Amino acid sequence: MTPLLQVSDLVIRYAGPKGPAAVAGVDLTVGTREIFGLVGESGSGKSTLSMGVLGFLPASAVITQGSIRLDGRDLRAAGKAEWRQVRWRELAYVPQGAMNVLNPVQRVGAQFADMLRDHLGARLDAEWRERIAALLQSVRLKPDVLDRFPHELSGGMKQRVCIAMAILFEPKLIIADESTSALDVVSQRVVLQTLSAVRDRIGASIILIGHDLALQAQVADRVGIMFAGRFVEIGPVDTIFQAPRHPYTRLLIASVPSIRHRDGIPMLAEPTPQERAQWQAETEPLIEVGPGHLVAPRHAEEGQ
Amino acid sequence: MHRYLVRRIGVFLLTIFAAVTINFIVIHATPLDPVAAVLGRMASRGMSVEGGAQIVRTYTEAFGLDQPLYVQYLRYMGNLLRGDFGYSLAYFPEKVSSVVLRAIPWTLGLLTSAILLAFIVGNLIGALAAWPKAPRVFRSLIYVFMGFSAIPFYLLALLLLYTFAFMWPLLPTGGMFSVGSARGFDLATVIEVVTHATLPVASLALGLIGFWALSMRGAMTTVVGEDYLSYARVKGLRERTIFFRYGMRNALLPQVTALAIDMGQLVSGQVLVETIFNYPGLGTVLYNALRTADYFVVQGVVLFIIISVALTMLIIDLIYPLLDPRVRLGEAS
Repeated sequence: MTPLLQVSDLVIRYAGPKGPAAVAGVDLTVGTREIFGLVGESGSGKSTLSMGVLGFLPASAVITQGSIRLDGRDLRAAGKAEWRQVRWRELAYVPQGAMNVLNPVQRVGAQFADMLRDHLGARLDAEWRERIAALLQSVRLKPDVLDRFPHELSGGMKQRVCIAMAILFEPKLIIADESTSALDVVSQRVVLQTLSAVRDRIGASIILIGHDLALQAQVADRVGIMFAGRFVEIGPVDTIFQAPRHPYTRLLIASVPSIRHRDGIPMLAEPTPQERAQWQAETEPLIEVGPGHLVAPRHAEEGQ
Repeated sequence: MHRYLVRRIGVFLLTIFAAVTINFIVIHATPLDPVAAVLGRMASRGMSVEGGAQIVRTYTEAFGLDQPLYVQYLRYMGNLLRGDFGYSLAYFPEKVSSVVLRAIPWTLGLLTSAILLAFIVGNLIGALAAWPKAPRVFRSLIYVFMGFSAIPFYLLALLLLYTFAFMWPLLPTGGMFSVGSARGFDLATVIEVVTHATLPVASLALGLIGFWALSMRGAMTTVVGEDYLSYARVKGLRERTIFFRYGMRNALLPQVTALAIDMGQLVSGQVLVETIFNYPGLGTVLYNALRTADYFVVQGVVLFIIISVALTMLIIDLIYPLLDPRVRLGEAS
């Protein structure tokens, strides 16, 4: 696996350099052509981590430590001009819930045109229209959505327009933040399959952020489970499902309903306050317990 | 769409009909006697008022002022439909239409320049005041212009007149061009007209900028928090694109509606401002007509104002769906 994104010892704090750390020392490597599932409860730091990688943290957040490298380029040191190079052409984003992310007063085509003009100085001519039509086809949309306004599209269609926008410049890495959470089950499947097809077609890596472990398992190569600003376990998706080590991972898997196993499963993967406090206090780096399978050291022997 | 159009134009015509009727009633309810006013003027100019009774009778008959009010009303409406606005009492035998038409270009020029200037400047300042990456100056600028908004149009006009035409005589005190200057369509004339219009336009616009800026700031603050704006940022679009196409374009929608309402307010300010600068527009015509109890000219000017305000509202209503694609004509109940 050639590493594409390398995050090491990253700390992101809110409300100033001494404030609470939403990301509290994260090491993460995502390989080329890999789909990495990033799972965790609300507030676990998965969105802050991805915004940090995108260079799009809110004004109140600050990176106090660590480094982010994309294809060898140090993103933490990147200036405004360098970011404009990286953003969208190398690093694209599919937003959480696409209901309101498209400009309501512009046709979809005009919004594509804005991207072409601002990034390449190009116009939406016949040639580009054809290329974008092909893109739309690859996310199962008809080319006529270019002439539609956002309010004329369904939620799933908008989400797929966003995917088409994300792959317009064939970026190296796409971060998809809860991209399916606002959709019905059928649209969720279509969007996930689309993302997976995108990886195969343009060879991009994808970070898939979500809190639905079962959904991630359908397409991800590897998954990482975040808890309280840190990864507690990272591993190939099969290993995580078959031999989870960390008690939180086991809790998450136990809460996944299945056809054979529906009764008596917990509604939420909710640890006890004691467990919470204990896991939060464990700040040692993860250790490898199997091929590509990393877990917090104190739980290395568990769950076998 | 088709039905909506018919209904909307029906409302437009009804508005004008109602306004014209009210206008007729109000002006005939005033205790002014136009014929007596004519006599008074003649007397004051030293003309002989002999046979005054004769003149009164002739005038009264000629203008139909001896008829019952409802006959006068029906005749007035009938004439209006034929495009006949009657004669000016003060400038007899000049027709109202020629008095009004002569003044319209000046008023329209003043009005559109003031509206556009205030709308553009005010909305830009307001939008930049709410834009996180804009210089902070714009935030304070709003308060400066709000100060101007608190001053009535006519006071502002006097203030500007005193400052820029009297204390520092940079601009002319009034009129539409200097006396005796050539009146062709050449550059010198254009400059003359522009310099003469500067103070009147500024008097009207200065007070409105603050209101536009304030409401735009409110609209923009909402837009700044919208998902499509953050998404435009992540997409790496240029700041200018984001500001104009994604920010202002959306925040402008409620402002366009307000534009129609603003028209009426401005027209009333226009009368006083034109009078102060002795500008030959409808405001001055109206002012003189009121002074001389020139019924038909007053009716003509007011009719024009009513039509132009109603027409502006109609146009804005009809083009709104082009600005906001989510609004479709005829689908609102």
